Amino acid sequence: MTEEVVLQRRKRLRAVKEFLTGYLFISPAVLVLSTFVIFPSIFVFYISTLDWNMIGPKYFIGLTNFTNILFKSPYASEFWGSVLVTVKYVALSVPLQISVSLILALLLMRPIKFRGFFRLGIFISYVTPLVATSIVWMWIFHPGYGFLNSFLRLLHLPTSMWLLGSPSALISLVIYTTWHVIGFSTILFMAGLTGVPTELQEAARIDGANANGVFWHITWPMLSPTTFFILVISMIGAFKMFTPVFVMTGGGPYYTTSTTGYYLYVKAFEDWAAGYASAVAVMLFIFIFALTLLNIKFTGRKVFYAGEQSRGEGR
Amino acid sequence: MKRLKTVKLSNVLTYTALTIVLIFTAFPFYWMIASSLNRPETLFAFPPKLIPDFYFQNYIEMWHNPPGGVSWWRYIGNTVFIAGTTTILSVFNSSLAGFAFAKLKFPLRNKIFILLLGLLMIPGEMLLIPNYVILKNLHWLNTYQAMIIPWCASVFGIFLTRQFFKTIPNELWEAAQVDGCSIGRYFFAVAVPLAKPTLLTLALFVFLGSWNAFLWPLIVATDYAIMPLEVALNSFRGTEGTQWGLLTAASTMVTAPVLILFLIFQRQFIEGIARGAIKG
Repeated sequence: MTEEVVLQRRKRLRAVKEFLTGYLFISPAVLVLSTFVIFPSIFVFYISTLDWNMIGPKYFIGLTNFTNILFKSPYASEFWGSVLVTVKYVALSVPLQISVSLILALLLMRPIKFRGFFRLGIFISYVTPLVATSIVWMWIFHPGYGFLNSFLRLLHLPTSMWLLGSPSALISLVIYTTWHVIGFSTILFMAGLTGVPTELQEAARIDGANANGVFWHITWPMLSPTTFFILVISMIGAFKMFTPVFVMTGGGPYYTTSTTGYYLYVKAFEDWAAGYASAVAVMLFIFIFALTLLNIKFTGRKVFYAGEQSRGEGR
Repeated sequence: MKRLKTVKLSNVLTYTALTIVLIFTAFPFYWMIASSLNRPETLFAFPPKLIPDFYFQNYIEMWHNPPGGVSWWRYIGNTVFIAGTTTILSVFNSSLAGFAFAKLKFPLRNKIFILLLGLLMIPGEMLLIPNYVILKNLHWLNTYQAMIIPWCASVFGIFLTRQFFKTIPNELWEAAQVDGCSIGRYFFAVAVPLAKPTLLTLALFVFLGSWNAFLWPLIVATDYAIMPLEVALNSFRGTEGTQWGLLTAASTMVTAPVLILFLIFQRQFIEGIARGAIKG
């Protein structure tokens, strides 16, 4: 009898020890994430109801910041203007990025030599810092002496003002960001393509389908979760885009490249309108949250890189 | 015979297309280095000169004119210190939590884990203003910890390490328990060595994210003495506006370490991205 009691006690002691250790192990991470993610994501709603410049007194103004953003000029025209810029940017960049990276992935999945070398070369720009590479592209885009215009002049093609003109500034940003992320979406498409069973493609081919038919009837539908995933993270990325705009155009000319992420920065850390900018942040969150829900609904995936990168890299 | 020909033709097209894209992605790096080695007058030559002058004066002049009156060594040291510390702390904290969520039984375990996963939906931009206010109240603005502590745990890291620790068979832990091994010792002596490849992948991503970070340090580090390299480079752009030889030299200096790190660990980077995307 005593032996049984001792055994049971030991077992219980072990269970208590295990759950104490469990809490001990998760506590550093939970403490950091509570302080710098959970708490601020509630706190931001409170700040969005204030008229506050981060130094002086706080005035509670209810939902005035939101009604200003949504309806009252000049705020509404600034905010919706930035949304429009973002939408234009998405319309230009996302189809380009998806089609190019899908073609690249299909080519890289073929039995070719030097696959590792090509993959490396296409991916390398993704890991490089944004300020440094933005500076390099500013030099390439330089209207007078930049490589791009010189190249166009050699081919007797019309040149452009690139970052200094409108709408060429937005197109320049699209070129730069496509250059920066193309490797990332290519890798995702390659991962998606490995999930398409080769037996299906073989079977279709035996049944007489040509390469085109195999692609549109088998590969493309089976890739649709990946495509949708890339579509959503590109849209989220567009709403949050900051660094290339800050370095290359400063939102100009005439606010034609002022994306929502950049507008938020200007309002918060140049105009020091903490309450108003927090309301913009909440609107940004609503857009991104809606996109994330769509993504989960259609693909069952959580948008990992979107969330983490913004925290890690602060684009 | 005909089939062989079409195969050959499509191979030629494949290599041509890939080479064109490769030139598009790699050329800016070449142009950055080539421009940094050109004399000022060569920079403005038409047609552009593809082979540089190998003129190293740009680097010397860039090095002697750092922004803000603090030496470039200081900025390099700041970035290495911030990125290194963040990486060590983040990998340590995330793997501790990942292990607990994978292997230890405690009340509310799964609820807490799902709550943490939900945090991935929160865009970092939404946290900028409240976190700035928090740091201001902690008197942490213009300190190293402002750029380290908020990033020293990552949900992605917890998720990634938990996935790995789940694959360690439970028999191993039971056997260790019979031998009187504590949970802590088991974690450090058995689980962590097994998880080395996963932890290396995580460390690379955290290090890269911290090295390339811009928006957050731009806001919280206005003092040159603690500024990381990317923010200092932005100031340098402000002071050297049109000196493209100097600007490309500085950009080369900031980009080179990342390129080298990537070339060494490219397999881990690429697999890490593919894994995060599939398992998600």
